[in-house]
Amino acid sequence: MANMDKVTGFLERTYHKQIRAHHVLEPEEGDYTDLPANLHPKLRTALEQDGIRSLYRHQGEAFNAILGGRDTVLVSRTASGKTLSFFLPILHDYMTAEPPFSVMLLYPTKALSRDQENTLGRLMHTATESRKMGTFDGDTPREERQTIQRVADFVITNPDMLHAGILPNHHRGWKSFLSRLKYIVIDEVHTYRGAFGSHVSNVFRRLLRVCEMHGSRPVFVCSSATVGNPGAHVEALFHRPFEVIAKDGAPRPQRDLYFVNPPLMKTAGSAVYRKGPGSVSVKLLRTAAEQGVRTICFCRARQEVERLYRAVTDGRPDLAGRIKPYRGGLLPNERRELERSLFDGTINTIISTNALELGIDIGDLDLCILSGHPGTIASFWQQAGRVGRKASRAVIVYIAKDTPIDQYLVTHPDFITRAAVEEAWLNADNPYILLQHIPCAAHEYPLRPEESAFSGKAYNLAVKILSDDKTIVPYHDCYRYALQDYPARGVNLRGMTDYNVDIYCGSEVIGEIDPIGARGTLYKDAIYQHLGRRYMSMDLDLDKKLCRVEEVNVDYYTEAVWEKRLEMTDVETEGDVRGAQLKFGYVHVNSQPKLYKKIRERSFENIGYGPITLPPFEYDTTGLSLVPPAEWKSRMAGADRRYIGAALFGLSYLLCRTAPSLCMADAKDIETDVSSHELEPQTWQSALYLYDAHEGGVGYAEKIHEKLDEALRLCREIIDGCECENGCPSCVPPLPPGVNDEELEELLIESNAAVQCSRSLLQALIEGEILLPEVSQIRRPLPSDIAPPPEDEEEVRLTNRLTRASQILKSKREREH
Amino acid sequence: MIDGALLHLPGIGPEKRRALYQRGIHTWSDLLDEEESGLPGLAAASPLAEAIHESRRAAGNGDIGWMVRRFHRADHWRILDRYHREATFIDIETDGLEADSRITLIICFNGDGIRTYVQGRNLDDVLDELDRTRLFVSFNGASFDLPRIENAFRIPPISIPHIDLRWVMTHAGFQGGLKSIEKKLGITRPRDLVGSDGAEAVWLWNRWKETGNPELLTKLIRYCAADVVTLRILAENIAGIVDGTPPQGFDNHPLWQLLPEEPDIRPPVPVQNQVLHPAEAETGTDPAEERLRRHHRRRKAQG
Ligand SMILES: [Zn+2]
Repeated sequence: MANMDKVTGFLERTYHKQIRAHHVLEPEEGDYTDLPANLHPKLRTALEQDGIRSLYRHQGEAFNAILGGRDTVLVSRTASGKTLSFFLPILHDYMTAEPPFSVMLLYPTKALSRDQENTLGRLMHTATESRKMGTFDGDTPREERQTIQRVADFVITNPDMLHAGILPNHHRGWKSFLSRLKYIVIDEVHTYRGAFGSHVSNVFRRLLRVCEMHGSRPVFVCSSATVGNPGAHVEALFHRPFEVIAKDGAPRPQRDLYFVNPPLMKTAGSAVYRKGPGSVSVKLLRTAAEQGVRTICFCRARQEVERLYRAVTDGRPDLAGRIKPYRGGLLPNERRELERSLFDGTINTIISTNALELGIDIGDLDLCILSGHPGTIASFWQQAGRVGRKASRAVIVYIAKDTPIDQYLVTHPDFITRAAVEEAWLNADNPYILLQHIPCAAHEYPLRPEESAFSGKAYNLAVKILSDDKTIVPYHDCYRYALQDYPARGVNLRGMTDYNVDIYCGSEVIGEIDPIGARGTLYKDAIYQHLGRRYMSMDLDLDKKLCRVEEVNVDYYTEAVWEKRLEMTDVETEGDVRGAQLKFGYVHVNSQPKLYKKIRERSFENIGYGPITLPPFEYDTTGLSLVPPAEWKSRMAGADRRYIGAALFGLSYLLCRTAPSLCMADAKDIETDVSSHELEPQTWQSALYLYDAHEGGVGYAEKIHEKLDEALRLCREIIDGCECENGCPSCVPPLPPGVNDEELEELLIESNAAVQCSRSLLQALIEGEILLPEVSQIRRPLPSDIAPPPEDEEEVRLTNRLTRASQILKSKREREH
Repeated sequence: MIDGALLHLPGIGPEKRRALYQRGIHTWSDLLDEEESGLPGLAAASPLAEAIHESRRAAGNGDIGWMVRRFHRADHWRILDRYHREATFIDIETDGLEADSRITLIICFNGDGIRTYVQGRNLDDVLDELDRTRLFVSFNGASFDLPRIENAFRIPPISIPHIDLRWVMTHAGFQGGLKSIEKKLGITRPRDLVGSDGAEAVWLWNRWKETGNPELLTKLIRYCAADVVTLRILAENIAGIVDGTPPQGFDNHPLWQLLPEEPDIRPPVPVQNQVLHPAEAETGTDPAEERLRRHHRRRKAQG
C-alpha cells in the first residue's frame, strides 16, 4: 500500500531519534473447520453465495456450544468474525424452531451503531426472508418502539435501555418478547467490569427475575476481548457457569508496531519536561489525512481529543473536513452523523476517546495512533485491534506520555507483547449498588420472601434500609415499591452519582457530564472544550443540574486542585509489611475542589489561580492505608523530618498511576492520597491511602492490597529505569500533587527529595533495607530569559480573586482548628 | 336469579337458551329436572350435569370468584343482584388524562359507607380496603381503574372478583358512558354536580394543589363519589334494568344523601404486624449498616 508506505516513511524519517522500538508482528494463518453438517440449507446457501465455505475453528466450536444450550463466552479479537459465531447457531435454531423465539442483542455503548443491525440484517434477510429485527435505544422514535415491541424477534439494545426502558415495562409492552426470550447475546462483555459491571450484573439479576416470571430461561452468549479471566469474569457477572471458547482461529495480516517517545526538553530554568504526544501525533495525523490513509487516533480524555483536534486543524482548513473529533459527550445526532461520515469515507481520520474502543464496525482502518497508553494491556490491544481487519498491512503507533506507566512501557517495549493481560473484576453485591437496584426490582414486581436472583447479607441489609425509610413497604408476604416514581430513572449505571449536568450555551444544550466530572471541570470560570471550541463556565448549579457556558477565545485551560480528607472508619484486615502497618477496610472520603490553576495551552506555564466554591463531595469506599515502618521513619526523621512526607507524596503519585494497570481499572477508578491523623495530642501520623473512587468499593483497591508487593516492585522499577536526574512526571515529579505544607514544599521544589525519598521508602517496603536518601539541591535557575507575560487586566482581577480566595481558605482553616 | 345463569354451561349459547326458555326451562333445577324426562345428553355424568352441580356448589358456598370467572358476562348481573350488599363500589380520579397520569383520589363505597383515599394523605390505605373486599364493582374498571391501581402501588394483578358494570349495562342494552346511562334511566345527581366531567375533575385536583382551597377538594370528592353512588343505584336495581322494567323515581334517591359535605379522610387503619422477610432478624448497629444508611440519607437528600 503505497500511501501507507509514505506515512511510515515520514514517521521513520522525521522521528527516527524518538522511535524506541519497531516490532513487526508476523501475519498469522487461519485455523478452519467445515461448515456444520446439520446447518440449515438456506443458511448454507447464503454463506456459500458470500463465498464462505468454511468456518474459523472457534466459530465451529461456538456453533456446537450455543446449540447445545450452554451459556457461552467467546474470547476473540475484534477482527475475527464474531457476528457469524453468534448468529449462525442462533439463526439456525430460529429457522428450525416453531413457534419463533426472541433474541436480545446487547451492545455496551449507549451509542449503538446501526451498522451492526445492517450486517446482521442482511444475514437475517437471506436466511429468513423477513426483517423481524429492531434497535431499541435512546434514539428510537416512540412510534417505532411499539412496533418493535409487537413484532420484533431480534431486539438490539444496551444495558441502559434494558435497565430503564425494558425492565420497568416488562409486564406491559415487553411481556411477549420476554416470555419468548431464548438467547441473550452480549457483545464486548469485558467492558462490564468494575462499578459499571457491578451495576450491569444487577440489571441481569432483574432481567432473569422477570424472565422467570414470564416463563423463559434464556441462554447467554457473550463475546469478550482478551482478558486474563474470561470465564471467572462472566460467572461473576451472570452468576452461572459458562463454557469458554478462547482460541481464535482468524488470520491476521502483518502489523507494524512503533513505540515513540517524544523528546525531553530543557526550559530556560532547570526544569526538564517531556514533549507531549501531540509533538508527534499532529504531524503524523496531517500526513495520514493528506495521504488518505484511514486513521484512528485514541486519546485518554475528552479534553485531549479537543485539544489535539484544534492543533491538527489549526491553519489547515483543507483538513478540517476530513478529520473529526469523536467522544462520548456528543449528542446522539452528532454522534450518528460522525459514524456515518466515517463509514462512507467523507471522513478518513478520527480522533477519539475510548468510546470507539468498543467494537463498533466503522469499516477497515489502516493506521492506529495511541496517544498515551490506554491504561490496560487489554485495552491497548483492543485499540490496536481497530486496524488490520482486512488482510492488508496495518500500522500501530504508540506515542508515550510523560506518565510513569507510559514511560515504563516505551522503555520496555517487550512488555506489551509479552505481559499477561489483566483480569476483570466486579462486585455485584456492592451494597451501595444493590441499594439502587432493589427499588427497581421491587418496582418491577414485589419482592417475595424467596428471591432466587437476590440473596445474602448485602441484599438483606439493603431491604432493611429501604423498608425502614418506606421506599418499599410490606404487602401481603412481599415488599412492594411504595413511591410514585420510576426508580430506574434515578439510577445511572455509568456513574457514582445518578444524574447528569446539562451544559447550556445560550438556550442550547451542547453536552452533558456527570456531577463529579462537573465539579472538577465545570466550576465557575473553568474552560470547557467542546468540538474544538472553548467555552468558559459562567455558572455551575448542581441543584438545578445545569451549567451555563459562553464561548470564549483564550489560550489556556484550567485544572482543579482538590483538597481531600481521608479516614479509615472500619478496618477489615490489618497486617505488617516489613515493619509497615498495612490496613484494608472502609475509608471515608471528603473531597472538595478548592482552587483552579490556569495553564497556558502550548507552554503549560501556570499563569494564575482562582477560587472554586463548591460543597465537599463525601462518600465511603474500600481502600488500604499504609504507615511506613517505624524504624525507617525514625532514621528519616533523624536526617530531615520532611523526608517522610516527601516519600509518601511521591509514592502516592506513582502508585496512583501504576495501580490501575494491575487490576484492569481506568485511571479514574483508583485514587491515592496522604492523610495525617493525630494519634495523641501533638503526635501526628501520616499514612498513604489507596482506594476505589466508587462508593462502596468495587474491588480495585482490594486487588492492589493483595498484589501490593508487585505494585511496589513496579514502582521501584519505574524510578530506577527513568532517564531523569531529579525526578519527573514519568517517575516522581519534584513536587507531587497534594502537598500543601509550606515547609515540605520548600524542600521539594528545589531538590530531588521526592524521588529519592520515594526510592528509600520502596526499598524499605520491598527489601526491609533502610537507606538514607541522597537528597541534593537542584541548582537555582538563572534568571529566566523568557519575558513574563504582560500584566493585563485579567491577571490583576485574578490576583485579587486569588488573594480573596486564600483569605477565605485561611479563615476557614482557622475556624476548623 | 343466580340459578338462571345458563350461558356458561356446555352446549348452551343464546340460541339454545332461547329454545330452553320457550320450553319453560329457566334455571339449573329446570335443566336437571329435564334429565328425568329422558332428554338425551343429560345423563347424571354428562358434562352439562357436572357443570350444573359445580355451579350449584359455588353458588351455595358463595364463591363469588368462581362465578365471576365462569359465568358468561351476560349473566354477571345475576351475581350483582345477589351480592351487591357485599360489594365495594370503586372509582378513581387521576391528575391528567394521559396513560401515565397519577391517581389522585380513590372512592370506595360499601356497607361501611363512602371512604375517601387521597394522594399525599392516605392513598396507600386503600390497599387494606382491597384486602377486605369480596367483590369489586366498577365502571370500566377492567381497563382503567384496576390496571392503574396495580401500577400505582406496584402490586401484582389484583385477584379480587371484579364486575365491570360497563359490560353488564352493555349486555342490558345500555351502551355508552355512565352519564348517558344516568340520563336514559332518569338518574339525576345533586344540583352542584350536574355537568361536571373527567376534565373538570383533573382541573379541580390541580387547582386544589395550587391553592389548598378545601372546597375544591370537597367538590372533587363529591363528584367522584357521585359516580359510585350511581353504580350502587344501578346494582341495586339491576334485575329490573335487565328485565326492561327499571323502577321509577331515581331522582332524590336516598343514597345521594351519603355524599360527603367535606373531605372525610379517615385515619389509616393500623396495619397488622406481618412476619417479614428477610431483614427482620437483624437489628443492632453494624458499622457497614451505619455507613450504608448514611450514604442512603445523603443520596436521598440529593434528590
Ligand atoms: Zn523521572
